[in-house]
Amino acid sequence: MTDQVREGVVLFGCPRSGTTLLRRLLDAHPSFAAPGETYALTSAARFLEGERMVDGLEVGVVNGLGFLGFSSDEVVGRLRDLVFSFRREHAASEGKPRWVEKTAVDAFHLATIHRLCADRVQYVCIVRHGLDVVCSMQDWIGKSQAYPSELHRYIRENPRPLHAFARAWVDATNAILDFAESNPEDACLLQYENLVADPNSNLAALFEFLGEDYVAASLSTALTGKDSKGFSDWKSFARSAIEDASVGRWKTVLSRETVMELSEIVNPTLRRIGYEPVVGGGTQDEAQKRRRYEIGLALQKLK
Amino acid sequence: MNFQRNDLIGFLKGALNVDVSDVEDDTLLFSTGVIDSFSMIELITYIESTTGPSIPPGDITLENFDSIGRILSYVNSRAA
Repeated sequence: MTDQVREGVVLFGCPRSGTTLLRRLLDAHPSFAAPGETYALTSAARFLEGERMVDGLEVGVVNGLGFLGFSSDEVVGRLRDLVFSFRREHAASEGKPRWVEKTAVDAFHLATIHRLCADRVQYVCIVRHGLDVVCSMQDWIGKSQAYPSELHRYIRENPRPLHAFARAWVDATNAILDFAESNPEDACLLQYENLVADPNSNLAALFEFLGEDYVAASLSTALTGKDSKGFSDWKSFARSAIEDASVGRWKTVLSRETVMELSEIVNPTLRRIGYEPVVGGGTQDEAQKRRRYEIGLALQKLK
Repeated sequence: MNFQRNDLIGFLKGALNVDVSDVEDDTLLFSTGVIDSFSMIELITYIESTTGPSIPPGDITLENFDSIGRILSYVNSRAA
């Protein structure tokens, strides 16, 4: 199937890694219909994912229907046909031959989505600096006032939300990196910081991977439209051009002590991608912590 | 010790990631959002660690800490 143009493209990235930006850039291309988040693959993955019992048996729909004589390939195939049919129909209504599916939490269902879509689609993966993701997740959760179910496990296991976000980033990012390394013909890996620093050359390489001509002119209009179909990232619509203002934001948002704590979680994965490991401030004794708190209180009076 | 302008600029740039290219001595830092509360805590902690005793709460004011010029003036007046 690798020598045929595949109808679908699936975007994988940890939430807050630039997947919405990438989706909007692809949607500006005449070949791709890339609407807001449909949760089509997320929901299909949740449908397929069972629970592992103590004896190793997976309890879920695949084995449940298996006992009735339906093979797992048949269950997965029928579900694929259902999901793809919606996206195919929407793309046709937009007058475009191919579709792009992006939902923020798909990276947490990567293996199941790959099982569902296999080599019938191409995959575009994007990674971003973990501490910038952590900061953006904090904003996202604050705005949403809720944690998506994919983060519940991390929140249960980590009483400090930033630690939970960092561990979620580590898991999602390593899953993406493993996937991209294992499927080099099917997957293209982008780095957010490179994309915003040099959109033209990164997008040219991406469209070459997708087997499409790169339409540079579409870059100037990609972010000016207010495509309102589907769920999407509110911050993305505040920008009309690609910018790198949020690169390295963690340096001003996170305290040095917090960076030190998070460094133990994120540094191995940062190194794997090629980022410099982060270094926080030294350990503070109780007197230093009290002093910082006193200064913080004094500053509140200035506002 | 005599707290130097270069010390302050170096800290703003290196530790707080402030773009100092547009920052003049009278540029307001905290009241205009150039640096936020977290960064201000870092800055005052740094000043205390390099110049001496704790700064009294009553001295932590915009008049003393809202620009490079004001910070240098305040810190060097303490040392005098």
